[in-house]
Amino acid sequence: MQHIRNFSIIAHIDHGKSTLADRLLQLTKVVDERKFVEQYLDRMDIERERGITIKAQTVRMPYEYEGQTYILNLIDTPGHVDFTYEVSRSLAACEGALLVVDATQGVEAQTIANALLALENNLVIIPVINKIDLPAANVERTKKEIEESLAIPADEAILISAKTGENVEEVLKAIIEKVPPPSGKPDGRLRALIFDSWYDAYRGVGLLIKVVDGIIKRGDQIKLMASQKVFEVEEVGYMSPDPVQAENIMCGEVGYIFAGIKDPRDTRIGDTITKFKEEAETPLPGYKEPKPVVFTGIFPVEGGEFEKLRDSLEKLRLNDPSVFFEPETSKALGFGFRCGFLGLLHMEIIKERLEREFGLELIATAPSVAYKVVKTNGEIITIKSPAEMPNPNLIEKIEEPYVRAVIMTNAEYVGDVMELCQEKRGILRSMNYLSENRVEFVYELPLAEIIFDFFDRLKSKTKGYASFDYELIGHRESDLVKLDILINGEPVDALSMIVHRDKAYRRGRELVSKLKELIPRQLFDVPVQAAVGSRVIARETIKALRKDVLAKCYGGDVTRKRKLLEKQKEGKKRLKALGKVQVPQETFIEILKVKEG
Amino acid sequence: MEKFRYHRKHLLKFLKSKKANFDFESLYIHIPFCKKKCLYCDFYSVSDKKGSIKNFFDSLKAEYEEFRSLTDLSSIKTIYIGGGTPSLLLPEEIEALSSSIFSFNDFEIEEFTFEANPESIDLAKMVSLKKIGVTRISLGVQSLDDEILRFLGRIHSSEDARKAAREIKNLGFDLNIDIIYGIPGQTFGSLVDTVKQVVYLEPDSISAYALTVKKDTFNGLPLKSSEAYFEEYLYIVEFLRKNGYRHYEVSNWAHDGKESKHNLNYWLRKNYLGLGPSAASLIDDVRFSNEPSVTKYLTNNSAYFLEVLNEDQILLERFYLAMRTSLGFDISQSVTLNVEFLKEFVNQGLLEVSDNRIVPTDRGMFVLDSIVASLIA
Repeated sequence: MQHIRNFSIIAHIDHGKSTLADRLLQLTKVVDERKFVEQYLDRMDIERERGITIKAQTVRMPYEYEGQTYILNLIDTPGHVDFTYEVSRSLAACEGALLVVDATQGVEAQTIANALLALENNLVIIPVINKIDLPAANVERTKKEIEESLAIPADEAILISAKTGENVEEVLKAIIEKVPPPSGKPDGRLRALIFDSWYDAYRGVGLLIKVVDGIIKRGDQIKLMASQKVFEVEEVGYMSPDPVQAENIMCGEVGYIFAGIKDPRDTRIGDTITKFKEEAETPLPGYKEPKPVVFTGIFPVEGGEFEKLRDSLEKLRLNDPSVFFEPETSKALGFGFRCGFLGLLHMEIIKERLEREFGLELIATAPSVAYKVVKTNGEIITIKSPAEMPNPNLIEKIEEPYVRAVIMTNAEYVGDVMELCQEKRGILRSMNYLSENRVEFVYELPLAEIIFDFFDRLKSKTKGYASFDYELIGHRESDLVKLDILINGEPVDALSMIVHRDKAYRRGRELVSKLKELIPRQLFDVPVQAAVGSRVIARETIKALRKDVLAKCYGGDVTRKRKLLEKQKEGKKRLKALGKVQVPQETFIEILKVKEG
Repeated sequence: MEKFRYHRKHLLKFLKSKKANFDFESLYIHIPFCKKKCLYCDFYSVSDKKGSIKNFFDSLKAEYEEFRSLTDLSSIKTIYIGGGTPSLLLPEEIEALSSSIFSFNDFEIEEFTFEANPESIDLAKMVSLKKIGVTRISLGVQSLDDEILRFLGRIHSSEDARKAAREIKNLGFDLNIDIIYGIPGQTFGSLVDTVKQVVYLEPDSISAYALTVKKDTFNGLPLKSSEAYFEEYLYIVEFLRKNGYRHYEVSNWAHDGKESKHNLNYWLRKNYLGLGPSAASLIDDVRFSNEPSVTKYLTNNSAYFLEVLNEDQILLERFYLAMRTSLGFDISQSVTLNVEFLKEFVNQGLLEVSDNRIVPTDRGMFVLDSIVASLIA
């Protein structure tokens, strides 16, 4: 155990985490040079394309140092706010963390959030300043920002270029010298932390675990302490970075197991594995049920693909048990699912994977959050979609989830950030200058406001010089209303949304005028209205189509016209009838893209 | 079925294999030459004569003879010579059409139309047209506002048009006048003036076409709004009605009994034979059209695009074509229509239903394509 080091790398997106991991793999000769591809640990296409890590990976790297062989376990964590809980579990499996900061960018919100998580888990943090080869690198300023924002001494920060490999060897030495070996009871009863899982079509659920106390080996009867399920271990091994079978995983080590687990929902990240009949007294701390916070309706563009969508969602859930879904019916969009996600990025990724890996064409309704509604009869319900909103006269009050958001930006954009947060109903909690040029804001904001288009607008207002992270801090009462859209007098369920009363008018007007542009003219005037309850707050009229006929249709023109009609007849399948109004699917796709502002 | 490209001899072979005799009701002959191509026109024509008319006539004769070997063509009741600009032909050429190729006088013709442009028609040609049996001349007037004629790129003046119209009437031909509306830059007043002057010339029938171009500009000006088109259309509808012209097809008006029989045959989906480059033909479930190339046509080996329609396609054509006319469509023919929309369109005053027929109103005709698209469930 004295020669084991478990560590992770904390960095903001693009600050060089994956490149540093690549260098470490090469230096410890774990990966054959010929098989090497960049971002080696990011296995999914989406990960490579977006330059992010979604699933945790581990890699065991043997390393010779001062005549001694050390086992270095790198636990590569997801870097995004949506996966904070997964990050915290991955960090809980480590004793140390490399805090990588880009010397040209400085400290970002995500760096801070994940570094704070590491500190909460009592990890030793080794600051690493990356990209020192670039002319724009400002090492002194970066050190100052690390000290100001995290109160971590940055004098001994290792200055590296992961790209050129400069000083990366120093990083390995620091890990051995500064990160403590795991502390656990090798003779105690088995306690192992599950910090990630994946699904293998042949062997079922694979679990990435860290053995905190005791030892786990093939043939062991194990019990998952939260789910109370019992399984028999079929295989244990290490990731190097591909799975390599072993006899056992010893105290302090990380590795994987298969135990014939077929349903991914039996295994939850953060749960503790112990031995059946030799159970540990208490589970490891920190287990939480993953809770979806962002919800959206997902519908197939082709009505006939509902079953395929269900199958695809079920398959995706095998790899990502945090995906929540239940059937939903929309008058406008047909049969689909109300899906829940850990956050916006998580939602985008799942939608993209459904489209890409399963070849589905999808429409998603406006994202929503989970509201708590206190009814006049005292009943409290949680609603995940506008359709579930009770009649206004049955509502005592509505509570919405709030977040504590950390925003970092350059000083010149302070005004823009404050303006945006104000508009998003934010409450300023603090504002610190980390250096002359770098400012940290802490805001409390309704989650519903940031899932809409907050991040895009923050980026554009600050020309990209802002970063943002948040954590949920509970529900608060708000003056919320359900905004309905009526086309030709008929409410369109897919376009309903829950908004703050002060914003209903503006949102209503925006939607109505956009719909006027998007809905093709019909053969009669079509009113488009936005309403709160029975009160219409915005209205436009789509004027009747006046002219649509081929002027000349003689002997040679018939074929072309017939073909056009046949095409239109075929195209009917993509038309949604809202009462007497026919609206192409594309209109929904377009309108649901519309952003505020 | 897919469209096939057939050489003439294969086309004829295919047709022969289908049927022994063909009851063509109409014959169309395409004269693909123009002095100058008009900006708005998408009929096939070339502006130089690519060899002499004589060569073209030889090829036309060859094509005609080959189709005559297929059927006796005695069922033909209407003939239409269109273009291009058929009135470019000289009097002797007009007569040669009959004497050396078609022997028009052998047909029992009910209607024989010849297309003419005001600048190229004269008395001598009209005399020749009389000789070969032409009964009706369709005159491409387009506008009686000289400024508008120049803007359209026409090479005649309003006076040429008035003169030609009077002469045609004087010689006892039925006169059809073509006009265009929805022209960018034309004031409503100018259009009203043209329509009034046209009626003053007392044509037997009038074709008024909404300017149609693929781009959103015409000759440098943006197209008129559909509301502006609609306003002009409604004026034409009302004014012609008051003057005794019946609106019998989307773009056609006539005094009773003066409707174009030839064109009605297209809309009633009667069989017709088209000769000349780009000309189209229909025989029951087979549509074919000649390759639009004079050069190829002169080799006597041009290709035909052919397609064989299924029952649904035929019904769809019948429905669409009939709905373009004031006859409307006989609902008892088995076609599945969206009844919801049918009711709605009747409520909206776009359609009328009587005696088992759906008939478009004047307003309905102007949005006919949308109506039909909505009705075909």
